[in-house]
Amino acid sequence: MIENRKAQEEMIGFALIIIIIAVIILVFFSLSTRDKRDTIESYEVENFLQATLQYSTLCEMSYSTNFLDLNELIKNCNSGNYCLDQKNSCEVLNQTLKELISESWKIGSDNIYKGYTIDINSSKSEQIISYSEGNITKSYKGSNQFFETYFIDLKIYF
Amino acid sequence: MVKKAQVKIQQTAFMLIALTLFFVLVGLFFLSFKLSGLREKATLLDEKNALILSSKIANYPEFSCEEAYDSKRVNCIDADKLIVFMNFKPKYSSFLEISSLELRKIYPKQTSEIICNSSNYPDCNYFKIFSGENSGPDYTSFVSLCRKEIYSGAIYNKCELAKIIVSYKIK
Repeated sequence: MIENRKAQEEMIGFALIIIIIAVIILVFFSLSTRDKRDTIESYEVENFLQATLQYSTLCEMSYSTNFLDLNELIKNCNSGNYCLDQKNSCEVLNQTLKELISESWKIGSDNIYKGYTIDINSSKSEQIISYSEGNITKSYKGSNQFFETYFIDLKIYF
Repeated sequence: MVKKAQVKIQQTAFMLIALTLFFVLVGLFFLSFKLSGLREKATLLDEKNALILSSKIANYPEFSCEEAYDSKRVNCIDADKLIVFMNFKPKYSSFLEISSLELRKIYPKQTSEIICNSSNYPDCNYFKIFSGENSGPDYTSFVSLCRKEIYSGAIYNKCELAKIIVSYKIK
């Protein structure tokens, strides 16, 4: 009877150890397969953003040949200004940005970059521009630029 | 008595096997975890190296915009300087320790590829600064390509989006 009980205790102990090991393995497994939603800061995107902001757009302001850079166009769009040809600066900004991105990055379901999202917000948390194209996957890289004088924040993720 | 001892030894052996298996599994998980991080780091380092090199080249006084375009610009190449530089064909390859250096306009898009020279500039989209043999993989980075334009007598700045393509020598 005593021997039987001892054997039972040992079996319970053995089962407990197996359960503990299984739990530890499960914890490790869940850690390794966890979703990584953190954005990788990308130098490539940062470079793209820097070069893009210097691009001379077709929007002339105040006088002829005063073609605005993209960063100036963002500020003018935020102020609600119109170009010399009476086009809305935000419309020109929207179109130029879309074309710049589509010519620079191959985006599509068969490509490395499945989609992108771009947000330009002002200090009053007002959205100047916000749109996305394609599929937004769990892994993405991006960069952002903050215009201190105008408190405008530009974020782009691929 | 002997049988009981045998069972005990068997139990210990099973426990040792289970523990060994456990540590092997934990080690494998840890290794895969570390390796996945390494791959990300390697990609980032590659990207960073390409960026540093292209930024370095873009900021050389021979190429950079300096303050010719109203304000100090970063990652900006002066196309007017570049076309003059190409005419002289200096042996910069050994100085820069790179095999080839090219620049391609990305936007506004042109239908066909036109190699730039002094006779067709600025109506071209591909600057072949120098290209040597034994080129390794290409590293690209975005830059702003600026030049001075004249429209009805007035001079203004025109900046376009371009990609600088650099390749190292294979050693």
